[in-house]
Amino acid sequence: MSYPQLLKYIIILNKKDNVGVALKDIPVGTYLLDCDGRELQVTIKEEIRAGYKISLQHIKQNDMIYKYRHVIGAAQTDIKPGEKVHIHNMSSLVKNDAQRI
Amino acid sequence: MMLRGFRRAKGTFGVRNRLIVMSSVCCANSFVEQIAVHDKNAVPIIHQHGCNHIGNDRDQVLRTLVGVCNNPNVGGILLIGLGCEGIGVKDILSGIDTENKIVKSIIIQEMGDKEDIIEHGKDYLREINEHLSMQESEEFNLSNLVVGLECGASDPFSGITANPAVGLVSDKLVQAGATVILAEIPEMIGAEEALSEMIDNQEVKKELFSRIREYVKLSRKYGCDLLGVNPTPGNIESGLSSIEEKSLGCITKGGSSKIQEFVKYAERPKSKGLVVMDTPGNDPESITGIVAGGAHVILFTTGLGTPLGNPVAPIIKIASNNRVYTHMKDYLDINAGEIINGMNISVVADRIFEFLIKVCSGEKTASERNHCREFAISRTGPTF
Repeated sequence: MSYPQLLKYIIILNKKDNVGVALKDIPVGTYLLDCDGRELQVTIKEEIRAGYKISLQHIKQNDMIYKYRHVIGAAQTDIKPGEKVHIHNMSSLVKNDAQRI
Repeated sequence: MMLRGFRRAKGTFGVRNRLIVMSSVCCANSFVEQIAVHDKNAVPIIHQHGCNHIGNDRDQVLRTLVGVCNNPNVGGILLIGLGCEGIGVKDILSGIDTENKIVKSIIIQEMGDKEDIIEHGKDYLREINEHLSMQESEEFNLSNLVVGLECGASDPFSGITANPAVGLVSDKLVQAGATVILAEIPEMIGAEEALSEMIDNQEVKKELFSRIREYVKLSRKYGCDLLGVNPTPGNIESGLSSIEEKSLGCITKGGSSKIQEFVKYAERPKSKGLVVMDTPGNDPESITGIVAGGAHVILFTTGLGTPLGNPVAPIIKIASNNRVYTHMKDYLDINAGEIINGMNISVVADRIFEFLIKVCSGEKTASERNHCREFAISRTGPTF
């Protein structure tokens, strides 16, 4: 059984990024994702909407999340390849406190 | 690469040979319109300013009006003033470099008679048109080009299709020696770490970061914390997870070059390459400042579509998604929504670049065909 490539659904904005962004809604199912030169089978358990991020690698808790080759936040938990990345498992590094500004 | 354009001052070239009729002050607006209507070539520029501003605010308004006149796309100018205004016709005239540019002016309080004013205006327009029709275009190097960047009426795709595609175009322009102006400072809030990596010059970094902080403080003073409210619930719902991510989605239009200079609103950059101009996120104000800083053309990305134009610079509209490209087709030029269909982003970038070259050679953008000419000067202070 050949599974569809996850790459067909996502855009990777820079080769330094560890997340890609869904260009179309990604239905529930199994997909293939090239991760560090190996082809992984990834199961999407919940539909991922267009505009949402997907992990491209094994990301450990506290690792930086890279998009556009820059840090957009840090992982709050370990994140597997193909997993959705959003406010439930990553957070901003920019502290909104009066002293910073 | 060589383009063709109209020689102006100090080795600059325009990609248009515009005739503008511009008021120095709000009070002269109606005469600008009543004179310009007699000539199909004349582009009226009216605004709400020119008097009762003080200090930096006065400097900024004057710099913008002078900058628009000095834009290389402008070949002929008819200035209409009242006479007693704070920013007078003489103040503007003294800042215009008239090499290969024809400038005329009328002061309402000096001439008095309404019919005289209109007839003089029409005579000046005839004279300017004769002059413009005699100017031939010449070859000039792409490195002379100044391209401004703007995103407006954005949607969740703007940061992942149109803006990154424009970023590749920015890289290509910078590599060719041209100048690219990135602006909209409030849309850089939260992206300081990334910006830090894009700036080698410590002075530039210090000034830009200071200005970003000022915008945050200003927003708090007026009751809305731009740092605290972003990303908004709508942004989060559409997949944006942090203010850094949101701001980077905008900044990506500038590409991967280092930022060479930070200029004031409506100030002409001295550097080539990627520069940042201090403008607000408001599209008409930002574009007016960028054009006053010398931009020949604007690359404008949009997710929801807008007819917005500029009196002096063609605006190339790049749609971020297929739906808006169809629905708002009258106002848009290039569809970066093809990236969603699987088109390689560099192919879309090539299309944008190719169209940019055609526009420089005379092809009209949607905003030009629609005669959209929005003009808004950014103010920093109150009117007294």
